Amino acid sequence: MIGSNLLDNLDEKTAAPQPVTPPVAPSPELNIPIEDTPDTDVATTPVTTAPNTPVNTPVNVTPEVAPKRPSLGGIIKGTAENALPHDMDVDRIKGIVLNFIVPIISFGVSLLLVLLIIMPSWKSRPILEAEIAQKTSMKQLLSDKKLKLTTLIDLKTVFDENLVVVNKALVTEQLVPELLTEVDHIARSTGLKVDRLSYSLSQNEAGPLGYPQVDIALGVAGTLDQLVNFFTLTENASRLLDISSYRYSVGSSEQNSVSVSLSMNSPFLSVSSEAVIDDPINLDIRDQSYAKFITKIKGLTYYDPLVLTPVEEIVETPEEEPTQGEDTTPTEELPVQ
Amino acid sequence: MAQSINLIPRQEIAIQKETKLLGVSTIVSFVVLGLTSIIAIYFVIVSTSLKRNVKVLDANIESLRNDIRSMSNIEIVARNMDKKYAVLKTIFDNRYYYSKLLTELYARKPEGVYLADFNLKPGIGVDVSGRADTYLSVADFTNALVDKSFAGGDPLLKDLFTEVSLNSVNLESSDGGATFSISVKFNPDKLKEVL
Repeated sequence: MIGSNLLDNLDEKTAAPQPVTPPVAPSPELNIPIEDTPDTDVATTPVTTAPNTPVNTPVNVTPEVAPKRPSLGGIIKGTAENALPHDMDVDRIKGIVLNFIVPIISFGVSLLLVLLIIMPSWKSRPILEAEIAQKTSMKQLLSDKKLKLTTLIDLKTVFDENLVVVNKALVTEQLVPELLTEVDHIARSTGLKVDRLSYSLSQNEAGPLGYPQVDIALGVAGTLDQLVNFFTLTENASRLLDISSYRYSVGSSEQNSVSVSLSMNSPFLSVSSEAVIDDPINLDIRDQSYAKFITKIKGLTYYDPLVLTPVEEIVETPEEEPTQGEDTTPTEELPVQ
Repeated sequence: MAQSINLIPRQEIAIQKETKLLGVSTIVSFVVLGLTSIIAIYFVIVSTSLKRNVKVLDANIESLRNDIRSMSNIEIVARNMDKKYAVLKTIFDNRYYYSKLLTELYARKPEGVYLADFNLKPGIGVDVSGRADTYLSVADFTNALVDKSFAGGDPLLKDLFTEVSLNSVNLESSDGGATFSISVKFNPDKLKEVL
């Protein structure tokens, strides 16, 4: 066994053996108290040696006990050699740093990569993704809007027609004479006898429907069939005429004659808009529900006030039953012809 | 008994340990450096890609805005149209077609019943008064109003009238007729027109 270890040991050595540094014995002059027995060889030997550094290993040398090394915390007395342990530590640290310079640099670079690139990118990534999502949404909105506007330009003729039809159904101004003429015309065309026709203006836009309207009070006499026809015609009139309430009673003189009191209203709305680039427009001229609605509006009967015989004279009279809570102008009543 | 004697000096053992430690730490540091480099490159690529996407989107959005800006006239008209369309649709969706009510009421009125007074309470019901040749005619009329299988009316309005209350009936001794007054409640949604 001894020979085997020796041979193995010798095989590892190269041809240039180095003498073994003799163990450093404690200096008698230093008089340093010995506290422990550290491995002095590692500490005192510069570690610049390559792994295969040849070491001359005498066969008869088996250092069982390491030489004592003065402790750093020990009491140092005496000569200029007092500085030796401190210099040894500095040299040792320098040696360690020099030996481990490559791993130290690698770890440093890794740390720099983490601090300067990975962490900032990691933190900014959600922000960038959120920004992209928001901008993608905005781009989609603008694309849709552009498509709708382009379609409107392409179908401008149809769009203009629709605009005219909508403006006939929901006029921009009160147009009271035209409205009264229309109501009078419808009533007379069904055979009803107009007894009373008056109007008032609801200026309060915060009403039940949120837009102004012309309120009409109408008193007519006729048969029930005529009344039903009148209802049907007003429901199919191009300019909106909504019946809010009605009451009728059979006349005393003729059994088939009914006397009807109606409350009607006709809304009007003036709109003004601005072009806001980033706001979507909801109108889609190719939408099925829009097309269906416009078709319905187009099917309504338009009573052209220029063609109809206008109501001859409007005499201002107070309204009989003004609606509470609404701003109303003095009512005007038409004389029955 | 054979004994093994370690002839390697302590100094050599320390050197070997330190050499081994140096090698391991070097390998580990290179592995860490490699990994962090790969991750850093990945993040640089991703971040650059995201920033490029943002720039592309900005350019697209600006281009679209310019296009839309050039169509501001039609946009204003479209917005005006949209407002009116929305109001009109609301009106038509909530509009009651009372001609249907009157027609259905008279369709369900039997012979021998004459309506003298009709007062509409919008969205709630109607108060009706009149005269009937017989008392049974009044009962027939009130029953017909709420009869969901009534044959003579509009099938879409079969459940228009929901409740009939007979307020008063006065028998006339002279000719056996009766004057009556009823309150009829109806479902106003049935009077709306479905587009």
